[in-house]
Amino acid sequence: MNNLRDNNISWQISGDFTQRLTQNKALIINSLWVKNDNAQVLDITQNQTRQFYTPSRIDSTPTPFLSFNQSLEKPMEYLSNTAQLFYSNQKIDFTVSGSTIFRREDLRTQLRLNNEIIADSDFINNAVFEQKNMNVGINLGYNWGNKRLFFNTSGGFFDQKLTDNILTKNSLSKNGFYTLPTIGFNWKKKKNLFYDLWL
Amino acid sequence: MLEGEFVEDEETQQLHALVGSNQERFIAVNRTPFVNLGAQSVQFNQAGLWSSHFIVRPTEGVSLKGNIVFNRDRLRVFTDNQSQFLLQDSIFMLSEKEEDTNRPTVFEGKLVGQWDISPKSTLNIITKFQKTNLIAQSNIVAMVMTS
Repeated sequence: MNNLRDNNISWQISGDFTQRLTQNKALIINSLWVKNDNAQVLDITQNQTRQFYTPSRIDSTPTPFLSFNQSLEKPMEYLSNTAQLFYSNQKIDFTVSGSTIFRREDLRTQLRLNNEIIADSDFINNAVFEQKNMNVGINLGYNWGNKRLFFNTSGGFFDQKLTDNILTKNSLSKNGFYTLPTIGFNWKKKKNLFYDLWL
Repeated sequence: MLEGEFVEDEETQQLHALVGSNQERFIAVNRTPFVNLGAQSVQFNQAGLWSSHFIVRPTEGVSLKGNIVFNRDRLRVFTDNQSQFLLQDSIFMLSEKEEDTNRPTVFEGKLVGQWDISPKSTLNIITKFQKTNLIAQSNIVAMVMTS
């Protein structure tokens, strides 16, 4: 007999604030928070019944000879804040943005065989993965006629940390700076479009 | 015809032996099953959906939209199979009954608020909530009879 129970609860709240500063400038501030709790339980039970058709007795009591149970929890939390400042006129558009992102994921699993927890560390998980990211970006575009030349660059600092509470009981972390520059060209004429991108 | 099938099975076993795999754990009937009876029936015992939606505008610059959806199903599938293995001097019968039950429950809610603070600024707040619950059960009863 197999029995799977899956429970999932998720919350998501986002807020946007838009302010038009002048005729050509606008400010957008965005916040997003997501929380997700996922839990799964899987039961597998096998029973064996043997019937002996003898005149004296009929033995038909089910005997469980294998009971297997796995529980799994995967909570996740995500928080991001972004601010963007837009400027545009007929020829130039310009965007400056900055954001911070935090994400945390947990993984907890457990295995039971015949109602006894398998204590071997290969069958138990209890890990936490945390990611932090702080970045800024600049988008610059120049328009003339039906052509557009644009340059985007974003960069920031990331920090990733994996904590395993079972095996190593210590954390593995990695952090550093990064940049992602992009340059592109866009030409639209009637029904034709040319698009070049280099990054 | 029957002898030909046996020869073919022996060849298969020899090939398995060559690659170092034996099938000792399985019941060696040396025959493919002959399914002489099978039936499947599906029951939808429950399939329900309820939803509620609203849009309100308490003042000129504030609007609220929201909806709630609740869904609950219950699906059951029954499968019966009877396989017969004709052996040389006996009959080996395998009877399997499978019963599957799926019970998904979904509750969703969404609330969107929009506030025009001034002619040049707005504030939107979106809240979503979802709770899902799935229970899936399957039960297989297998019975073996020899005669």
